[in-house]
Amino acid sequence: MNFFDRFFEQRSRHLARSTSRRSMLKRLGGVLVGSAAIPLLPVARAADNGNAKMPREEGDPGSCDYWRYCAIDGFLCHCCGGTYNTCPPGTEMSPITWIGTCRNPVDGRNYVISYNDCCGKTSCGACLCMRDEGDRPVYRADKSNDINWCLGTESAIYHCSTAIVVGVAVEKE
Amino acid sequence: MIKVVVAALLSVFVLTAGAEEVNAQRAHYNYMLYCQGCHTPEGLGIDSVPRIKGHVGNFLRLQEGREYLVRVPGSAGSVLNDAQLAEVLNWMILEYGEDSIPADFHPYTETEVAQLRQDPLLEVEDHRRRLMEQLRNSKE
Repeated sequence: MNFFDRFFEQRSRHLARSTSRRSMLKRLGGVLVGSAAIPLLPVARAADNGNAKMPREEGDPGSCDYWRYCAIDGFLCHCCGGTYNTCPPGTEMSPITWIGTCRNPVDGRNYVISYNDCCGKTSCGACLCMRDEGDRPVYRADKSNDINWCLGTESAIYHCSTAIVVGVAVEKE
Repeated sequence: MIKVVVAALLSVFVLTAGAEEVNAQRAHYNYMLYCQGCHTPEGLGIDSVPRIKGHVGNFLRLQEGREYLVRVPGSAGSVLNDAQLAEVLNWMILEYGEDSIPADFHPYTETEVAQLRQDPLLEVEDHRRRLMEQLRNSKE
């Protein structure tokens, strides 16, 4: 018993000698402020961005006004059980797609958008958007959004449209 | 001294003015915008869309094949101008050609493309079939 008493007395005295009573508050405060400040560092923000090509965005992906939808003609997958990047369950994404550019209001840059259709179920019917910027008549087939882009899929039945960022536009000199 | 500088500047100008210069970023952008929708991001193609990756360079083994790549509707009828089209074609060959690129490959020039696209193909599939046969025979 004597050994335990001595041991803990020594440890307690050592602790009392080497630390101040407020050091606990100081350290706790440091941790709190520090963890709040780390996300503000540029390194953390760059890591958060992941892919450098992926734009920072704002707005409602369930609204036709969302920046990526500048040339869309169809139902938003975002309202049909998918997102602007993914198809709803039970549908297949068309590998053949129509491609345009949209200006991201957050950074003012133009991005290349691929409007891959999701196919295999009847029309979704929700959030019909027809902004059609840059849409060309069907004799310019690769720049026309009026044709059914469910090509190369098992089924040619159109369900909804995604709007995937595939690159950054090169501005004309 | 001034003469040397002028000569150096001129040579730089002549080199950069050549149509076979490939600005990879610009070429990739034009590929994304005007080709990728059907040829897919990796140039793999699907169904009736022919595969580019690892294959496109085979056409360059014959003069007719070299002409084919410019005369197909997607190239000849493209909204790209002659210089841009030459650049995208050269970029596609270098990016996706892999082992199919012949050793003596020389890039398309703006004038070559301008001339070839005046004669676009109407019966692409028949033409392609004949061409593939010629390419197979030339290999043996």
